[in-house]
Amino acid sequence: MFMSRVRDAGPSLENAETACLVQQALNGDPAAFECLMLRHERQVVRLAMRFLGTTEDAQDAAQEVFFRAYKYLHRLDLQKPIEPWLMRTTVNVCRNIGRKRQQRLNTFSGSETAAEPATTGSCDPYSGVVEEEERQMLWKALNSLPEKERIAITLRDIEGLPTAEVAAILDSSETTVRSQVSRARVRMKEAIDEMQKGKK
Amino acid sequence: MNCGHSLEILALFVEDDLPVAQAERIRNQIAGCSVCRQACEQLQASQSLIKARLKLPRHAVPNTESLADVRRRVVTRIQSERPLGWALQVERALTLSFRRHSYAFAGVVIGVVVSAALLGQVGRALPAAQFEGRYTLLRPDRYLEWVSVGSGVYVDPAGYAEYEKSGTFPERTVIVMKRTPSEAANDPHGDFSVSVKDSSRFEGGWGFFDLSGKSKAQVASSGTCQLCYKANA
Repeated sequence: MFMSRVRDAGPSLENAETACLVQQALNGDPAAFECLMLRHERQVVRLAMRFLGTTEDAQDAAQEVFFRAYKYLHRLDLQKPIEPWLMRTTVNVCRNIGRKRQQRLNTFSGSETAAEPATTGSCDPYSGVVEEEERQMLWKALNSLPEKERIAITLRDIEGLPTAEVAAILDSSETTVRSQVSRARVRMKEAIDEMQKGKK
Repeated sequence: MNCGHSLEILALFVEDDLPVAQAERIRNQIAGCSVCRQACEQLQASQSLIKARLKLPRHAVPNTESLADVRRRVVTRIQSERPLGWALQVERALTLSFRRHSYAFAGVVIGVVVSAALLGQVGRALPAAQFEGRYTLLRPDRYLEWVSVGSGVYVDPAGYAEYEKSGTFPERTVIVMKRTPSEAANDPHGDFSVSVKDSSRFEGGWGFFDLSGKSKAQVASSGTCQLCYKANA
């Protein structure tokens, strides 16, 4: 994944370039900040989509993430990669949006959960239907997990980030992340068992 | 589980999330335990399904135009909302300064000099003698912290320091003479008298005030008591 690549290269050229851009942005160069956005916007939007489900919400979240990043850019430790910091901001922004959305839903409909992500668009009509059912069921199961477990399993298993990077993003320890991920996996397995029982 | 492993541990094991030694131990143990083996297989299947179904499709990621729109919105918002309030601007300036050690050192030196200068100003701004109008002296309230030069006689520190150097009391020197009731009975100056050197106010340089039992007093005499003062001070 993106951060692994950065770390594998050690204190890489990419990190040095990012640090340079951050410094230029802090000195008031708007083009440098735009360049930073350009480099990281896909990761931010992708992660936001993962948590929020729709492109529109993800774009709104990305806007808020970069606005906050601009505001607090001076707090970034230039010795470290920028990605975990941006991802942490993304997770926090999505948490806020998700909570507000849940409050709204609780107020107006009381039963809905988070929006579901876009479909995969399979070519086979039958398998497409089955896949879509499974996907919707898993999405519901995922959204019924406690927030911390949901975020941990999303980053670790669905985004495929190493545990250490998940811990860095969540500002937590690897032990805590492992514990959250393992509980989430078991709950998801139980949901899948239920789904398969229902099919039989 | 027959081996005593919880599903949570196996859920970490199937994704290689355990330390190598622990994973090896579990691998050896579950080789002989059908229940744990089956649980692992189910966990692997559910993990595969989660990854396959919840993976974001390619087309779900916004296109270049949408991303450019996000950038435009951020830039517009930064320009219109001016996100850096004064507190953040100060925080940013301090953070950036302290990233450069030479600036940090210069900042500390400047801070110390400015603080010392301010403290010096504060000291000067509060003279030992405080007047109400031209000739009414307010009772000094912290004279006990001054330099004690004899029984019940206190001199303000700045005046005493200059006297030690030059042998002459400088302008604005304040001397308090405090007497016990028995001493005061035979003293025409009462139990609490104050002498202030201020040539711009008092003829002969010194003004004398009887503040016995009072919070303020008008000058009692000036100039004429100078010889008496010199004899007693």
